[in-house]
Amino acid sequence: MSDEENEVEEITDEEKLQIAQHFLLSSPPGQFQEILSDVRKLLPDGLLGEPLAAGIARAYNTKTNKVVSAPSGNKVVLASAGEIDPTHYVDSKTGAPFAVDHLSLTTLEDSSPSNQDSSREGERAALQSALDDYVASRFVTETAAAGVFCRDGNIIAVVSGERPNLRNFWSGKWTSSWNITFSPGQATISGDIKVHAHYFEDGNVQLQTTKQAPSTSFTYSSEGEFASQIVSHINASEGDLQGGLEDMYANMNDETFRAMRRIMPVKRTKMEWNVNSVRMNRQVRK
Amino acid sequence: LTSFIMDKISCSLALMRRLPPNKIEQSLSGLLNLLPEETDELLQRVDQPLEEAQDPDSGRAYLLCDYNRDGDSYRSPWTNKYFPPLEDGFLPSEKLRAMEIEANELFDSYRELYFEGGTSSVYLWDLPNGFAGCFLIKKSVQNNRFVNSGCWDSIHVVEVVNTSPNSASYKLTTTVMLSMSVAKEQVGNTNMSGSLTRQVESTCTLDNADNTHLANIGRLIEEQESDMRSNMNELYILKTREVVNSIRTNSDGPIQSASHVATLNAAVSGHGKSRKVDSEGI
Repeated sequence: MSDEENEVEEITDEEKLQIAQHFLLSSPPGQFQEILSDVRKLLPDGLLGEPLAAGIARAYNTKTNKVVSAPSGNKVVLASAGEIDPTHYVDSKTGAPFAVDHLSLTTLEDSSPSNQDSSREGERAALQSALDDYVASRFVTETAAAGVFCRDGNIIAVVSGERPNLRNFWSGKWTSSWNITFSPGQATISGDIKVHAHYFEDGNVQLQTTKQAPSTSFTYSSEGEFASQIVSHINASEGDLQGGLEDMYANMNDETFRAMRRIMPVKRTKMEWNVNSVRMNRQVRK
Repeated sequence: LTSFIMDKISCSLALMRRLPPNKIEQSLSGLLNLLPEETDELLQRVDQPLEEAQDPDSGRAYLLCDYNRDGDSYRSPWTNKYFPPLEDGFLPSEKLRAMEIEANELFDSYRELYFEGGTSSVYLWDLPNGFAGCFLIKKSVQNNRFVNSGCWDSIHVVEVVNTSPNSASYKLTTTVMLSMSVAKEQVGNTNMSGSLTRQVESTCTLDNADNTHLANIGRLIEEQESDMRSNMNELYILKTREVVNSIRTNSDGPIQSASHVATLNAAVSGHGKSRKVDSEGI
């Protein structure tokens, strides 16, 4: 730095926006607005205007399966599979489209034509109903929903829950996405689960998890059976991950964290900060 | 610094509190690109994981920071030489260097006791009424049974003021940065990372026996670092567990119909409305 003390190299506005976008897309759950407000103060006035910010918000919302309240009053998921266009989505519980403001997260009734595929409507609706039960039973937070969509003959199911508590310096998110494809006589489900937890009272600690759930194929003889097998698979996959996390936490102090730094030295006594003592110990160890 | 600039610095620090702690270098790099004119301020206030270099003369690794830097060269605590070599790089006084040698020996032993590996370095510099030093540790883990890859960085900066012939005051600021990629198939790709900074001030007796400067500093560091390690797990890491469990419950119970659950919830919250709540916290 001393060589260029008097030269301040400026990057281009485009490069600044790239950095801003990167920061925004890395937002921990529920903190997009906070990061947007801070990032804007580091950019030239007006560079990150509403339309640009809304575009980044849309990418963030669909990437994190943001849960919002649809005009119907239902909690719904903003998922790519349910997107009609960047500001219009389908409420998969009622079939009704709605408009959304990605920054304020307010929704409005709308009459855009839906782009959902209705070829598997029977299975889709059965799964939507079954997943609604699943979310109500397994998700403790009110800000949770399941969205089941049909595009190009495939069914896409998204489960999402979040719990922001910024007043107490924490926030979290649990979401999973499932792709169900059909072939004669059977269906195949594959998916992944993402978890993000943040605690930042006088510090910054984050858990970030991504897990691919095992893929499985199954046969079914009714829409009800189709739905219950999928819910069973999702429940088992999510449950397995959560169980694994519990185990990890239980062993964190003695195993994982201990690999980084011991709680106490092997001899269970603190260090003697004396050079002669240290040299003697070194001789003994040899 | 004007309040206009301070505002930008606070925003930067606030951002560092939210951005993933396993991407500190990238985040800081982004901030430096947005605020190049505040480079010195930002580098001074935001700690980032330490870089390591090899001292070719002693064959030992040493850690790099602003306190052992001169131009583009860094001074090794083992040989007191700069690499790449410098004609007249800044060196500590003979008296201070003697203390620095002892400090490195002691801290190396501390590092072995608690970290069983890794690299440590201590650099001292003079102050008008005392001296200051940074005590650094970096431990990288690869392919451990419990950690696929992980890194722990400790940055301890202490300011020592001689208050009397037999006492001194010590102000210690410690930053710990941690990132662990957990080796456990059941949790897929899980990263637990965090950063904490704490400060402590203490006035201690000073003598030539058990209470030398290095002994006093050493004990303060050991206590603060151990406390922070403990807090990192008990307060912070375990809090993320609570956060996860506040979203989804891993119960084995049956999946009940949504309308039934809604009735139950209504009953519970109706009961709850007549109770006093302390906070929104879990």
